[in-house]
Amino acid sequence: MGFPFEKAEWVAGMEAIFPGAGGSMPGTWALIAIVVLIGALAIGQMSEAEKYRKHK
Amino acid sequence: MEDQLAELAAQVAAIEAKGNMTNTMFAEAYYYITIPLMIIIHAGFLAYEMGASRAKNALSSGVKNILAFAFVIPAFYFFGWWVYWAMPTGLSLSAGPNGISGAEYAGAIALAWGDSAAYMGPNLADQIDGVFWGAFTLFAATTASIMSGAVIERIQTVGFVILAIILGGFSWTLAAAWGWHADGWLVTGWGVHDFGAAGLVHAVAAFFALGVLINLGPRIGKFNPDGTANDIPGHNLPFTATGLMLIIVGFWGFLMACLVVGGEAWSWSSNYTTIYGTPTNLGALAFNILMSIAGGIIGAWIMTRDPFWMMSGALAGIISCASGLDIYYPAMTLVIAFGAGVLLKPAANVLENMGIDDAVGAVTVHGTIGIYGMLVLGIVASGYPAALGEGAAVTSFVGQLVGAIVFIAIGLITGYVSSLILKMLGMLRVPEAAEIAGLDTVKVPAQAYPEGIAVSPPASS
Repeated sequence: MGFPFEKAEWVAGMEAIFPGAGGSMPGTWALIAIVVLIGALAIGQMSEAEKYRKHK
Repeated sequence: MEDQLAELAAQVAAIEAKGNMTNTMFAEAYYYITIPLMIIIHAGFLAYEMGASRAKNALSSGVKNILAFAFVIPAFYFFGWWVYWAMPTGLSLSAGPNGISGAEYAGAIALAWGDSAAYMGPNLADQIDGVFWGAFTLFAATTASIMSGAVIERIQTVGFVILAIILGGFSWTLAAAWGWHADGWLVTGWGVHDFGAAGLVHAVAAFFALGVLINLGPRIGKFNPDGTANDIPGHNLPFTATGLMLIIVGFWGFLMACLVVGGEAWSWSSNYTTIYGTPTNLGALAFNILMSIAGGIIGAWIMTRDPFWMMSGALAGIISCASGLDIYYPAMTLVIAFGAGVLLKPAANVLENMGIDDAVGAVTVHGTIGIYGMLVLGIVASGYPAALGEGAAVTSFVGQLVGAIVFIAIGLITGYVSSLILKMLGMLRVPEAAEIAGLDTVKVPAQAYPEGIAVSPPASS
């Protein structure tokens, strides 16, 4: 993913310090996170609907 | 001599650099602290709504609050923050006069991908965006919690979460972009002044809730066939009152975060200002928040003698003065808040007589009172400069009225349309059998009171 620094120092001019900074990885992680969120909502909705069906 | 001057200059430069860094770290810590303070608001809403629910629904009401908090955070991260910076000038997404708005600007600082991702994560060269985003995220989560109480005991969980995402990620953010941003068209064009977000947070959330309530309908048993209303008391009034007090505690953080700290490159001044760039300080807030709490409680006490409404009166007091907490005189604040406390219960009754079942009075406390507060400011603060700089628009009653109408429309339309779509999809209201059985029994794998609520005998002396 690429690491912006290899030595634990506060260096003037250093900017983003997360893995993959400056590349395409943040976008990939964002996409995965959004898929997880939508998936969680879908699973939650299916589970909820099933519980309502049982209590009809 | 030259050497001494050079040494002195170097020492001055070093002191200046340390001073600047101290200011930067203060600004960062200032907004960071507002975040846990605002989380207290959510602890309050959690207690408040669980207590206001009947025992059979206590945990399901709590689950709703917890999930709203969890989903609004990423929603605001992935698109809410972008909306705030992209849309101040309207739906054209163009840049405003201060050059800190528009699609191009927002795309450079507020997206979680591409080059702007550098500002949406740990960055040694940026000590403000993370904490500023965090504070705004808590504003967003607060809007969702305001809506949450109104709809308890009959809304589906996932349907509610989707509504919370729309309200917290888009509706209030649009209102904030238009009326709580130096480039916002309501600010530059109409002089809207809403320092503590009485309209753009409270009223937007309340009218969003009203739009949802129209589609959701009342709880079973709330209204009789002749249209008269029944009281459905919550199972734990002490819990509800404590929750309200926690909300009030948290609002100190909320209002603290409405200030812009001075002395930084992104500041409007070397000292505190409002988000519009107009001058104020924490002392103004301390005077006016405390007096507004007092006024609201006393007004509600005069009208009701009921601890629920007295604590709601405290909240209403703050909300009624929120637009002008930066400039009001404390005695004026007390009077305005007293009016809000008096208005509270009759306004709630009007809503109930219209067949709307707002379980906790959220539409009244946040909506009616939020609009009341915006309009009062238009009267008593007419002529104040609404923003920084020469030729800036001034505050006026007409401007505040236009702002209030826009905020009502944003909340009501987005809440009504989104809940109507959920209703058509069968994702809005729980089935009748589930509502009668109690939502905890139907869908929560835990019990609120597994041993009942025991009564202990007093110890013998």
